[in-house]
Amino acid sequence: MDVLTQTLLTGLTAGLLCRLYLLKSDYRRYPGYPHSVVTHLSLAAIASLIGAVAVPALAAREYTAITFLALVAQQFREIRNLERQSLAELEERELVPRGRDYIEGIARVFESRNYLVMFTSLGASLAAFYSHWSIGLALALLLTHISGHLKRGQYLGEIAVVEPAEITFRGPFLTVNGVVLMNVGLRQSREKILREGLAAVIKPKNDDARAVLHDAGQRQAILHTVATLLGTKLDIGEQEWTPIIRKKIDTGELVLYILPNEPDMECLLEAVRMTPVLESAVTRPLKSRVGRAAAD
Amino acid sequence: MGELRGSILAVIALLEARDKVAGGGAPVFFVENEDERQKLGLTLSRALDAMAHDLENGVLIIVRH
Repeated sequence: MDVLTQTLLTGLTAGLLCRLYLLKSDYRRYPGYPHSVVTHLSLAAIASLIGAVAVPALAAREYTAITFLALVAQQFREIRNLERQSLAELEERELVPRGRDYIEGIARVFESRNYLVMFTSLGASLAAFYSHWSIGLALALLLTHISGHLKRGQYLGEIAVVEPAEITFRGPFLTVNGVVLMNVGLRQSREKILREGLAAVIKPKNDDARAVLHDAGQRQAILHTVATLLGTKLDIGEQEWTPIIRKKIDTGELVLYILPNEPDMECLLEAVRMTPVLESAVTRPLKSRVGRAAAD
Repeated sequence: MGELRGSILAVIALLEARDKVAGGGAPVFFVENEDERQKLGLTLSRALDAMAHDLENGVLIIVRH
């Protein structure tokens, strides 16, 4: 096999391996449709080939290869838009929607993974072209491992303490830890909620965390995650069973109520802890002088 | 009626509370006792795909969110 073919194959393999690794380690957040997986892998194959081809092209002094990469960047942006659009279309019928911020996050992650694949493939084919394909694959494994770290965002459990809370009714008002969530007019609904509802309180560990919890997109993401993992008894037209999250305005804590299919408090707490922190929710007031001064 | 969110679609009031409700566009249903009020509340909230809220003065309002 000549060097060119070896380079291309190494690059392609490296890219696909990287994408499979990123796919597996994040399966929980995936929509789960098999066709989506095929699409993602195909796009990863294209990204890897481009990364792989760039090296021999540049070595042969075909500098137009750079403009080729720019075209690819634009393509990936289009793909991000497509992904966002298709998720947004599905949102309309979701009973507990993901929220725009979460979708934006998913679309951005999708785009960035294609770039990671391209660069992994580029690195691997560089090594394969100038030394040996085994070095290329070794480098690919290293780069894949680094990509894995880059993609790992924070989870809510790292920035907040999640504890069980109690549901009570003050007259018709559904109250959790002193925060009024909603007015439930029907007596049988109140009884059902007392019997089968679960509630939790989410306490931020510092002011940065408090800012994250304040973000509406982040709160919607928590509801979506919890509703997906525990199931919800919500149905179209029966709005009493809607999971709700509200802030305790004086402390910045969140209280959450849900009527789950699986009434397991430990699972509820774990589900909240597992919710990813959305990039768009992070503002970091503590990083500024004013924020730090205001904090004490 | 399709997308009328946030406004009061119907009002259910106990006869003692008839002074607590005035006109405003939403139909008012008067009932004799609490059980009837709850039953009517359930029927109307299911029929209207909406939620019943208790104003704590003998009046239930049906609102779609």
